[in-house]
Amino acid sequence: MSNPKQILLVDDDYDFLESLQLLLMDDGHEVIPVSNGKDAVEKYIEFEPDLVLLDIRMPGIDGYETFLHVIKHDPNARVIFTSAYAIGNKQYQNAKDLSLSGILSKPIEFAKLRQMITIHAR
Amino acid sequence: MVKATHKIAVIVTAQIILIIASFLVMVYFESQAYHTGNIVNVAGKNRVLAILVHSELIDEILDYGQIHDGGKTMLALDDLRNNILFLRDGGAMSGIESTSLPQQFHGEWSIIWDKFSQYESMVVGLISDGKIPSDDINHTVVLSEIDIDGIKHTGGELVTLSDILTDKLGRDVDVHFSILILIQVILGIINVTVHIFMIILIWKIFNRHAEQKIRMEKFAMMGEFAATMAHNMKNPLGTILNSITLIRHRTSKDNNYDETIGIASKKIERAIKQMSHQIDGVMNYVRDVPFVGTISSVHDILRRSIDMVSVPSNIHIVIPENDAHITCDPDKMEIVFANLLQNAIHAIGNSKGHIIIRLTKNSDNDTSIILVFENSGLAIPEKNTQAIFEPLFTTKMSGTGLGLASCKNIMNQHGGSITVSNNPVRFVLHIPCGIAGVKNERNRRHEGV
Repeated sequence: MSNPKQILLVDDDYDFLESLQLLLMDDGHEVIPVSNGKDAVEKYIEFEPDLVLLDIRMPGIDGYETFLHVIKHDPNARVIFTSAYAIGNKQYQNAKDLSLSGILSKPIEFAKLRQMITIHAR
Repeated sequence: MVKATHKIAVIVTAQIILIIASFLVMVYFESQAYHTGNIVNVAGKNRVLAILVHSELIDEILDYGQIHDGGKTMLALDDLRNNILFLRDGGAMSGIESTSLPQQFHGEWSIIWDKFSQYESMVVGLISDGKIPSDDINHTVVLSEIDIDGIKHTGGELVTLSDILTDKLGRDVDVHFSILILIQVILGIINVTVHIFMIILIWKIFNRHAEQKIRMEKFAMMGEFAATMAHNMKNPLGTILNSITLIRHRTSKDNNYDETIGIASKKIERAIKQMSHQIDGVMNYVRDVPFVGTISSVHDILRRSIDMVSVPSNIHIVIPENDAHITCDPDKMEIVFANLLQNAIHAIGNSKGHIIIRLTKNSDNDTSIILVFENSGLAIPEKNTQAIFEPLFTTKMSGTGLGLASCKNIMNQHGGSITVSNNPVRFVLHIPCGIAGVKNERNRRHEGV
């Protein structure tokens, strides 16, 4: 089990969101689940969690834009993209330049996720 | 591949060169024919001038057999001499330009010249004999009929010889014009053939261009489809993986341990990995995946690639004993290796076979490695050795036609290359070591110091 962290989990796929929430909670973390970018920004401002797991493709404000809002509020925010497919190289590079912690491809291997939490969560 | 516009530029340039070359050849031969024609005219003029000499001579002979002056005859004789010399030497005379007489006619010319010399001496002699001295208008000399007839006869021979040469030159001009017509016909046929060939070539290029455009459109549609498919399939796969991982965690705890669930969940995880890999295979080609370069062991990537594909028991894989570290995106390089292994397995089929992987440093420089995947499977038809790297080309019933195209893309992204050869089938990867290579080089230098 990792050190318990507070994780903001953002994904518009409800089943994926809930299953990953349960898995992270089973691993001892506190999870704040939200299903869109707007709520994610609000929750981040409210809780300032240790780590954000952020889906890229979402209706409304997408993951990339959400990331920009979060970073604007907290330049030290720890954000990892979770993606069913990759974003464009340019956007990814921009996000990397703006302190994006990393990217995880769905389906996410839990061992890899654990490793990323250990490395990047505050 | 050479761009269609470049090919067309080359073709049009070739056409222009051909047209100019044809024109120059025609100009050369026509000029030859023109000058040869002038030589005929010059030769023909000999007849007229010889007759003129004779006519002047007859005119100058007075009724009582004396020659009044001889000046006009001498002038006509000079003209004839000049014309005969002009015939041999060519140049310009009286507004006519002519080339020198071709070597093969010099024999005939010499005969004419000899005859002319004989004729000239006879005429000059006659004039000398029959001329009335200017200081003695009462001088009387009667020219013999025999002398005049002799001159007439020699003049006639001169005319005949000159006519023979004129005929020969005329026939030569005919030959020149026949050759000229033949060349015109041949050049015409060549030009028409080349134009038809070029039209066909241009048509093929445009056709290929259109095919490529259709393929790219198909490919773009497939990209959209793949993106949607990936999103729609990977999220549920993620949910399944999350859930099965949770179940495995829960059932692996001491008080709740269930071996069957453990085995089953591992199988599900493997199945998810395979499905995800299939999706990634398409995605790797149709979407831009961020390039994440890290220093990686080729050996480690190879092992992971072998784990990724299911190797049947009839196939033996030999991996290199040596290793190298390269700066690459290990996930992408894994895709390349796995694709090559999967293709080799497919090529070998059910018969017993082997896949040998060799790793060598490029002998030319230390900054790249060569990785060879050799298999004992069927040879690739020569006509397909380039096409197999094109997107959507496949000879397999279940192939996506993107495997080797992805490999080529990934190798290009790494600044490397992929080639194939037969007997035995070998896929050769040239991979730059990147920062790793530089680092190794620095380390070695450092160690050397």
